[in-house]
Amino acid sequence: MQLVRYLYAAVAVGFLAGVAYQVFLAGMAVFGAGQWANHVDFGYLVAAVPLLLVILAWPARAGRSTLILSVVTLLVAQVQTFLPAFREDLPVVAALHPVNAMLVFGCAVLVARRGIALARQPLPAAPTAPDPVRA
Amino acid sequence: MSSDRTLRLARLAFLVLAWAFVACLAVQLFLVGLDVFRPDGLKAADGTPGVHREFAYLYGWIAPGLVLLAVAGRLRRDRLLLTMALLVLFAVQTYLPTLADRAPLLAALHAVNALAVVTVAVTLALGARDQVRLVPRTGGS
Repeated sequence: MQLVRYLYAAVAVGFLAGVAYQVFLAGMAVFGAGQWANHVDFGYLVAAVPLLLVILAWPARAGRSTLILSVVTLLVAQVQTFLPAFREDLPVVAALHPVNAMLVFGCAVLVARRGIALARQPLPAAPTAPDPVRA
Repeated sequence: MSSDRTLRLARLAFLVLAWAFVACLAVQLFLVGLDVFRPDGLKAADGTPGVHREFAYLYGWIAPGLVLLAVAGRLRRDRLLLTMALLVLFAVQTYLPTLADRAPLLAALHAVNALAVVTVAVTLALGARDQVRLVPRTGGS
């Protein structure tokens, strides 16, 4: 089961790298080196990754706080995908997209740090049945 | 004024300015959003830049101010270096958009560098309180 912890750490670090790349794609679109479509398409992909973290947190025995952090990360990542939809009716709400991006990045950093710490920490031994020979 | 009091005041000022800088960055990000989602994009048809650019020049003085306070408050070496790193990152941040025409890929790092600026600023602000606590309070005589 230690493997699940490694997997959690890998997904968390991958998510952090994905967020950084997503921000780079936004920069590329702003400065004319790329298309906004790349940022939008990759955004939907990367926003789904925290769902894996939520699923993996339980078998990895990551603990309650890490599970909550994973859920919060999923929530802020999903909110991020909805915000640009308000650009026509409520541009002030849509303008929160870059602010929320920093929250996503912050959550990604925290989750990656937790994941790495978790992978380094051996899984607690499961309670074993009493030895029938000694009993 | 005692040396401890001077140190404490400098570190308190550092704490206040560090959080003010973080608050300005949050506002700055919101202004980026307003610029990006306005109908005419980041640059208006008449060539005027977005408000977030103007705002950056308004609070940019805080970064060198933090370096001065870090020196005056004799912050730990790693804190001082991090404060200097913030100043360098902020300077790079203002320079990157000027490369938009010649090297748009480098200019695109403007957004990624913003992540670094925010990370360093928040790290400094979070640690600033401990730096104040390290200096003993002196009597009011």
